[in-house]
Amino acid sequence: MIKNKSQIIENTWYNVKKISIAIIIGAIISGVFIYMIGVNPIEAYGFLIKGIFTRRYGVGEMLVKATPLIFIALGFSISFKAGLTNLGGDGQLIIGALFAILAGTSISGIPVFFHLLLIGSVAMIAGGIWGGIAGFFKAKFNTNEVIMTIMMNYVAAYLVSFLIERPLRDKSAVLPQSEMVPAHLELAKVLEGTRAHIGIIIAIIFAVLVYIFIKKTDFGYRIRAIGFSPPAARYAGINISRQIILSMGLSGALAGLAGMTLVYGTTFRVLDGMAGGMGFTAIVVAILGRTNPFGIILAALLIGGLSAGGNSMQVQIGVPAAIIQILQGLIIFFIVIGYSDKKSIIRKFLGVKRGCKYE
Amino acid sequence: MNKYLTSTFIITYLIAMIKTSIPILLAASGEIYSERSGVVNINLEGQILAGAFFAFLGAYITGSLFLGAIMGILAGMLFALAFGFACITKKASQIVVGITLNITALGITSYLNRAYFGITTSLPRVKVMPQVLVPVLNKIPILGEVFFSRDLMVYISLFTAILSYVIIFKTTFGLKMRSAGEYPRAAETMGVNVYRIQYISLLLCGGLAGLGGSYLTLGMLGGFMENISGGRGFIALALVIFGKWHPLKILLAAMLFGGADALQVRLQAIGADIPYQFMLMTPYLLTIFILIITGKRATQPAALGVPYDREKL
Repeated sequence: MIKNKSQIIENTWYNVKKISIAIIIGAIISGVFIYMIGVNPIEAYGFLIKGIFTRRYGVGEMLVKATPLIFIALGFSISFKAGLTNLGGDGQLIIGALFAILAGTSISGIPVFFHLLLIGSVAMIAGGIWGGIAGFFKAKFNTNEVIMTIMMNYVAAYLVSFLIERPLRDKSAVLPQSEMVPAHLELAKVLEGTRAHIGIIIAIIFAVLVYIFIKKTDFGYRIRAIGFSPPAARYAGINISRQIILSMGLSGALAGLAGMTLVYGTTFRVLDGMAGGMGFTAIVVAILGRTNPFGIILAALLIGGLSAGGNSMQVQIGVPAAIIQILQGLIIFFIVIGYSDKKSIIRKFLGVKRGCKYE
Repeated sequence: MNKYLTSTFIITYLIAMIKTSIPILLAASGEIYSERSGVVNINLEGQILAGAFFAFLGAYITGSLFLGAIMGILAGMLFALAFGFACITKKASQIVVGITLNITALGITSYLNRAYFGITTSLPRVKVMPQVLVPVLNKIPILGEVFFSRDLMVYISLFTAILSYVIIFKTTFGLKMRSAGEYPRAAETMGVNVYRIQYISLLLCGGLAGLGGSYLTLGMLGGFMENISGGRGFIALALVIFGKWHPLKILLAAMLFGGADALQVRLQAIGADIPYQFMLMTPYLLTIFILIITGKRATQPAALGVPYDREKL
């Protein structure tokens, strides 16, 4: 579809309008929840915004929270274009994190840059295999990938929980956790005096790569084709099984990389429950960014900012940080409702064609 | 081996099996209604969670388990209503709306839990549902103790499964519901109001999921923990596929599942030499196994998951 300039501007304006309205309604309803516990919502939102923008540290926290979300949301968008729903971000992240720490602590004597490259690749392969398993069973056994990936999250969480409690445990630590990342392998900081690390830059690079992959390569074209119409894609000679496994694998690989940057940039260890529902938050990010890689970056900054600001709001004024989850859920809810008219891409991509079967 | 095969062990195990299966059984029974009418209620998990929290809150404030359970049902229905508005009236994606509302439910329950009960080391508790002995029948050895000396919710749940079978396969409403899920346009031509049927089915589903959730807090634990539902909504979704959208098959499937889950809890309690993480993993592994063996032969309602649009051909 060729778009001229005025159409693009009109579309952008349309998106901005819809998304702003959703944010405002979401904020009002969440405000009621804040008011319920006896806090002035305006004051609370003030602390939220101040928590992010008036301090260097707050901006850093926003970047820290946004980084893994960008990776997982990019992965989700790939599977999504293929008409699949990968809800396994949590599991793929933690499997990636686990193999990243293994690759970092068990090998030594390689130049830092290449070692990190190796660690990143290992994490991507591990996450990719974890996601690819769900793709394999979808392709070969027609299993429901939505439930499958969620079940695999629990399996991954308990598996890693066992490993860091027994065989891989840091013996000197009180809590069950893996060994530390070797100091020379820690990702460099991008903002002095904060926890923000170069993971955010890697994430942006990957957003560009995913954009090119989806829009400009044959691979991406095939993935979009099976998402658009499986029967037509099969008629065109596309190997559907392979595309399903591949897109779930790629999706998982990006979540695995999220795990690697999380361990090497933020936590420096594998911890119990470190994924903490990020896989689901990333879906909020992907939908908010309309599964467009650049939209995802902006959405991740917004959602990352909200969670960073939410933490500072909890400390400053005592509003539980879970309010951010309510806010996120409501925003997406109203966006999805707002887009449910004729122009809706979300509906076109999500609603109607879900009925298509791969067989 | 002897210590596993005493009659007390078997009886406590069977009781645990029934109790464990109840929340999933109720949620799965509800899900049959909504899926038979053509709507995949991915929000099931959130409805269970909301039911669990609000049932506990209601019981804690009013001191009445009955009012608590009513609160739980209403909370589940409220989420079902929001889900229905987005997916039936506005025809949005059932998967995206489902995930979204699950996040919202997790947020609301965690938030209110913190706000009301704060962060304490000891869980605020209510008394769990009392035993209700069925006259005469509870005197039957073993069977009486296992099946007829349970709480009211167990009887309600088993009855619900049987009642669901009658409603879905033997009533006009059930026929309308099934036709809406198989071929909504034909159903509409025959004078069935598809939207209304889907709303009713979804509300029934939300109510049952909320009731299932309230059993988690009021029947089993007596307290609330964040994310107490722990994936049970999704397990129920898998059981609906496993039980081929048939209430009685799903009743058996839920018992089987409860049996496996209760077994791992028993083995943990006895102190079997297996890391507890692998024990906790079993329900999820079992669900994966179920998904794999049923994937190929699952014949779902033909119009499942496709938003019906009256104005469009």
